[in-house]
Amino acid sequence: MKYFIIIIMSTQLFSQGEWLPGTANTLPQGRWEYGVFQPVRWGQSEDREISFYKLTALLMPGVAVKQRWVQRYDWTVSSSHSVYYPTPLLKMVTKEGIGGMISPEFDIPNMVSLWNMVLASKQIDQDKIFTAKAGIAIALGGSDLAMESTIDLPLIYHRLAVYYNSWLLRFGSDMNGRLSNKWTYLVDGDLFIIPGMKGSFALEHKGMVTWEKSSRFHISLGYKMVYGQYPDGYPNENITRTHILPMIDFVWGR
Amino acid sequence: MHRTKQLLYLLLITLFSCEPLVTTFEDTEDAVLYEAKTFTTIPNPDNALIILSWNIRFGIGRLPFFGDSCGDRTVMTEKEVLDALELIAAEIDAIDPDIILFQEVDRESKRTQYIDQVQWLLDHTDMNYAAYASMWKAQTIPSDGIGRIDAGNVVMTRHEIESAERIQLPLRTDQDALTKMFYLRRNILKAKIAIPDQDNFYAVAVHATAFATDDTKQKHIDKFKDVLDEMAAAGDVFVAGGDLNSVPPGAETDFCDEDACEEDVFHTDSDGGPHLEGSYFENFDTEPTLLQPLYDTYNPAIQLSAAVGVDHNTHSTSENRFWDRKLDYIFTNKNVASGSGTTHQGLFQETIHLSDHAPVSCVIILE
Repeated sequence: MKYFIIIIMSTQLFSQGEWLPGTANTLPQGRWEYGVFQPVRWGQSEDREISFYKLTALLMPGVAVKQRWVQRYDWTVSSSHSVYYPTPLLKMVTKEGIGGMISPEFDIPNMVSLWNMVLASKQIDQDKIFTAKAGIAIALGGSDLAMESTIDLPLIYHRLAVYYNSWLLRFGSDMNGRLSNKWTYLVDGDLFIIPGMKGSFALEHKGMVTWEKSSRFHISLGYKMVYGQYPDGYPNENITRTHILPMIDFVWGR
Repeated sequence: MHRTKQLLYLLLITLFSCEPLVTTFEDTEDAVLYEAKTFTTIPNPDNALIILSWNIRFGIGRLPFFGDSCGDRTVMTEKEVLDALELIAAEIDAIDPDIILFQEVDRESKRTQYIDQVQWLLDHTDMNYAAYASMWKAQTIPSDGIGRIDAGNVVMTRHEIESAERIQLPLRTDQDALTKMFYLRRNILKAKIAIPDQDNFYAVAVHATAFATDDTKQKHIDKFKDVLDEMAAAGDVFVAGGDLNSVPPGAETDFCDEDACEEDVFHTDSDGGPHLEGSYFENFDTEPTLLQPLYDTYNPAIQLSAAVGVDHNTHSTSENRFWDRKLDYIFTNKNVASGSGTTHQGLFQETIHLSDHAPVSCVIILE
């Protein structure tokens, strides 16, 4: 169950176009991409991309829109706006017995979060794109959520923190590049800052290599490293932990 | 070739895990040692030591924990835990022991807000040193919202602990593989303490299985006695005890009626079973007399004749019912000062609220 939740929550990793081509660029109009874990992405127009999650469509409904605003010289600037409704998923794991990640003594209210991010990508040379991003997430409806009901696990704690804290900040950078005709790579870093809350930051780093069989099918393999602060008690308020998790995805496009 | 190497390195990194999901233990390994933030003066033992044994129920007093007491809660608030710990520390100060054998102490657990209760108790009592041996340690228990857990036995003392060893006890055999993986790994904690004029002085804390319906409890008590016998044979001095989850020989063995929650089903078969786990002390033939060899070999804090009396009961599953059975013991191969064995039952409104176990203490004579 722990890994199921991590998988579901980690699909949010891809929400702001982090995965190849996780840049400020949007998909070409009419193109669809869908992976096992990453969201379904659709080039709605030449400068707008819409994405949503298959795995969490029922348990944590959400949708993201990436709008390209500027494309000049080597620079592309976009903004991404996402909305999520995590209540059904959290209610599902609030239970007695196996699979209970949250104690049934806690009530899960109706909550919604809005994630907004600005992305700026620069073509370094023919094979490399660097992307910087900054954003803010806000949540509504979480004021009645008991602080003791947090799920204190990597990837999950700092993403759900927005519902407990009402807001958080997120910064990141990506480097996408090509190793050869069929191989590409992605190296990224993300910083979550949750001011005023125990466990107030997480630094996440991802490394992935992708084999492009064709423009219709990719396989990605890599790892995610999380260096995060988590709530602690006496004698320390916080404790930092490091986790490394494997990542794999299969992506189809048309 | 270069790319293959890169991929291999990547795979190695990916498979690297910083911490296991569930911590397992060797048969014997070093315990975790602690020191108080500030030391109090180490008293001269004056030829006697006060020993205390107490299962403190991870510092939640009588709050309705889901795992016992027909409770419905898993995660306590920080204030609830600190309030309970304050009362426990006050009781310790009142008893004023030299050595404490603790059971059920949390230190990195979601259910008690990650308060390191070993360090907290060191810093809020006159104790100076402690050794800790975990009996339940996991990054997360994916059930009932338990989350991260680290709970175990502790030896705490005013005197320096020279070394401490965690001795693994056998696991239950009446559970499925998945439950067993995430379940408790009970232990004996053996600490060597620097007592003036005593060359080899040990304090031993144990917490035997509570809910096993097979003969695991027999194995635990046997192993506990083996450890004591080895020390005695080597000429060592020891005080040993804890929550043995066994009633004294001659005591009542069936507490199913007393402990039953609303929807519990028991005593339905012609042979009297099934019984509530943890409430029945006759799961195998020799269970009612499990502690007889300990009484026959070593000096108890409370003599057997007195141990079956209500004045020395140490446990009840509800604070609304006074202590109704004895599960907690101290044994030593030194002499116990006559009349010093005490079960701190308190008045109805006192220790009954601090834990589901009453503290037991005695004075041992060093000679």
